Amino acid sequence: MTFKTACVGKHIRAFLLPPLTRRFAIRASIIAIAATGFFSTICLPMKIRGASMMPTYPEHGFTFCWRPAFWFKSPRHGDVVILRYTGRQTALLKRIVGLPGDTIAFESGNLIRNGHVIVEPYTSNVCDWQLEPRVVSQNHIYVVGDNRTVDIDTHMFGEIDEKRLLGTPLW
Amino acid sequence: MVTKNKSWLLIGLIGLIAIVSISLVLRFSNEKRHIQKQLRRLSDAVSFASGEGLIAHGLKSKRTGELFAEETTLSIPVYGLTGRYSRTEIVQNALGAKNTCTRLSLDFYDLTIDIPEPSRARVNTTARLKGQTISGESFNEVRELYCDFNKINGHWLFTACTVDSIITR
Repeated sequence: MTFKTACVGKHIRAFLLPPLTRRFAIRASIIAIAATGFFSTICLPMKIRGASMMPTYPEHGFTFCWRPAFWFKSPRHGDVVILRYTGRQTALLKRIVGLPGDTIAFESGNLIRNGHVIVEPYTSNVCDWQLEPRVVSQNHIYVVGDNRTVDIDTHMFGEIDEKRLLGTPLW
Repeated sequence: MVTKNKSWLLIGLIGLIAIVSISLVLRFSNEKRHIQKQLRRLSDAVSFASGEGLIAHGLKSKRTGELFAEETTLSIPVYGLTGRYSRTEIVQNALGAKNTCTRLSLDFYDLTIDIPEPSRARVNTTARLKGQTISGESFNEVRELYCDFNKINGHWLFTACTVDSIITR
C-alpha cells in the first residue's frame, strides 16, 4: 500500500514538475506560442462591464470573443455580437435586430421590424421606448442591448458599420 | 541557344517585377509610417496632463498647426466646425478648446491608410477624446474619423477631416 502511494505520488510529481530538459523547454515554448496566438487572434478573453445586455449577460462577467463566427457566415437577426469600439480595448456587446434594408422602430417598447412586432423573449422587462422608423443602410447592422429598463437616451444602440464586427461571445 | 536566351529573359523579367513590387511595397509602407507618425504627433499635440503650463499649451498648439495644410476642410458638426479653416484658425480653435479643460488625451485606434495616388492618402480611424473640463465634468467621446492627407513639400499634411458617430440611431 505504501509502495503504491509512493509510485502514484512520483507520477503526479513527474507530470506536474517534469525535469527541465531541452525537449520539455521546446514543448512548453510551442504550447506558449500557440496559446498566445490562439487567445490573441481567434478567441479573445473579454471582461463584461455594464448592464446593457442584462438579463442575458450579467453586469460584471467574463466571456471569450469567438472571432471565426462570421468568417464563413453572415450575421443574422437575434445574434449576440461583439463589436469593435476603441480597437479591441473596448468592445460593445449587443444583439442584432436589423440587417441592411430593414426598417426599425420602437413603439411603446415593442421592437417593430419591417412593420411587424417582434417577440423578444430575451428582454424580460417592459419598457416605453419610442423611436421613429428608420432604414438600416447597406453594410450596416442595427444593434440594441437586451436591457430595455434603462432610459432610451442613456442606452447606446443603433446602426453600426459591419466592419466593426469582431465576433460572438462563446457563451 | 534560343531557348536558353528565352529562359534568361524570363528570369530577368521575373526578377525585375519582383524588385519593382518590393520597392513599391516598401515605399508605400514607408509612406504609411509617415502618416501614422503625423497622427501620433497630433495626439501628442492635443493631449496634456493636469498642471501643464500655458507656455507648453501654446507650443503644443503651434505644433498642431504644422500638421495641417494652409487650408483644411473640417466637418465636425458636434463641435460646430464645418467649412474651410486656415492653420491659424485651427490653432486658435485647438487652444480655445484646450483652455476649457484641465486634462485631455487623444488616442487613435483601428487605423486604415489608403494611398490611391503617390501624394494623396485617405485615412479612416477611431478617435477617443478623453478628459475633464474646468468645471470638473469628465468626458469620454469616441468618434470615427475620415481624413485626407496630401504630401506637400515632402510632408503629409491634413487637408480634410470629417468626424462621424460610430453608432447612430
